[in-house]
Amino acid sequence: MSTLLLIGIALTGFFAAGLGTMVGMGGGTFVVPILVVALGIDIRAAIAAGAICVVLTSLKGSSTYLQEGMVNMKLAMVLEVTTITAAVAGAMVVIFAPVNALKIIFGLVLAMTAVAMFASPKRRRSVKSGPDPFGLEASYDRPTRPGQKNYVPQKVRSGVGLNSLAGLTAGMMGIGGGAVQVPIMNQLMRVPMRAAVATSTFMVGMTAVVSALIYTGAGLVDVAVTVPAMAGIMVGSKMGSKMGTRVPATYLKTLLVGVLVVLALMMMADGFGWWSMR
Amino acid sequence: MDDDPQRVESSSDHPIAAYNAGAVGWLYRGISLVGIVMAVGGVLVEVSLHGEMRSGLWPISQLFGALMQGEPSAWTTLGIWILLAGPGLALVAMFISGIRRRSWPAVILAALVLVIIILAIPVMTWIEGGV
Repeated sequence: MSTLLLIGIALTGFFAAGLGTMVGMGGGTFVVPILVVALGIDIRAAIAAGAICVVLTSLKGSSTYLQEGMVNMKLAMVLEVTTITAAVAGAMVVIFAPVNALKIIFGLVLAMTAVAMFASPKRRRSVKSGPDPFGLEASYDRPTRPGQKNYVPQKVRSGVGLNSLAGLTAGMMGIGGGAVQVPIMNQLMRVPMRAAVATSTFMVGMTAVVSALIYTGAGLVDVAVTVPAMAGIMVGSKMGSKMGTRVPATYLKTLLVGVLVVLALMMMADGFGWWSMR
Repeated sequence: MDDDPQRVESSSDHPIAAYNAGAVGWLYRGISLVGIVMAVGGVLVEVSLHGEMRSGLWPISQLFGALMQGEPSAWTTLGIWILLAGPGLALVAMFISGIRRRSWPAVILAALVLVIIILAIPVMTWIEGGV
């Protein structure tokens, strides 16, 4: 692999994580398709690199959330049971499905993510008290004003079932799955947005580890793709979190929806054999 | 210590809140730092010494020997494995924390997730032999 390509991979990680962090997404959603459609990296190697990068960003991101007490660890454990099992199934799809089918599936999921980002439903208010059969009630210190925010997650059974979709997507695409998990926790389970993001950041690392282990067994991990992407993502996410407050979120979101649509179309065109970088 | 409400370190004051979130946070911080430094450092040393890099990871059976020979790519592999071990170690910490606080639902949940992750290892080995 040429030095220029290694630099290209690192820059992809940098920009994808930087832009993704600015709008509250991880970099994985952008890194994997850009590596495939712009740099011509094998999709399976890109997915395996994506999964390992997710583990790294989850460890780094959730360490702060854990120390601030924002992560609902009990809820994470309850949801992880189905999420992680589905991730195993997703990882098996990556190994056994034809490459073109993977590209088409990836393109479809990117298109759906773009639609979800564009629609961006209003945040739902959390439920402060009520029946809590699973003992998942939690609280955290409000970051903007004094006092604690209490909440009781609702519709836990539906949330557990639907989170398997996040696991399947994560296992199949080498991404975190936060784009699926956070709306489920906030919209369906009425978990406050901050707690949903923190809990999801913690969960995605565990989900990605399972798929990363399976990709490793299949020999899909290419160090020349994974390590430069990891380095780029580490620096990019730090820059993104610093720049995030300075750039108007609305413009950025519109730009990223556009990027996702283009990537989705390119992935699907590549999958159907209508177009290819190589 | 177990009964002292001031020592509950999770985000909740519910009895099941047995996981030591602060300790897991520190564990994650240390592991991510060590893992990325070893992975990136190994690649930089390897490229500067050999002008190219090994594309695959070292098999676990050969990793120790390669580390002893000072092979930089083995440090990269070890760095990646340290990162992948992070969530599993966190689950072990949560499991132990649950036992110390006698919070059995928390122990069972952490154990269940840990078992699913551990079960991925035979799947990995099976694929390693079959694909």
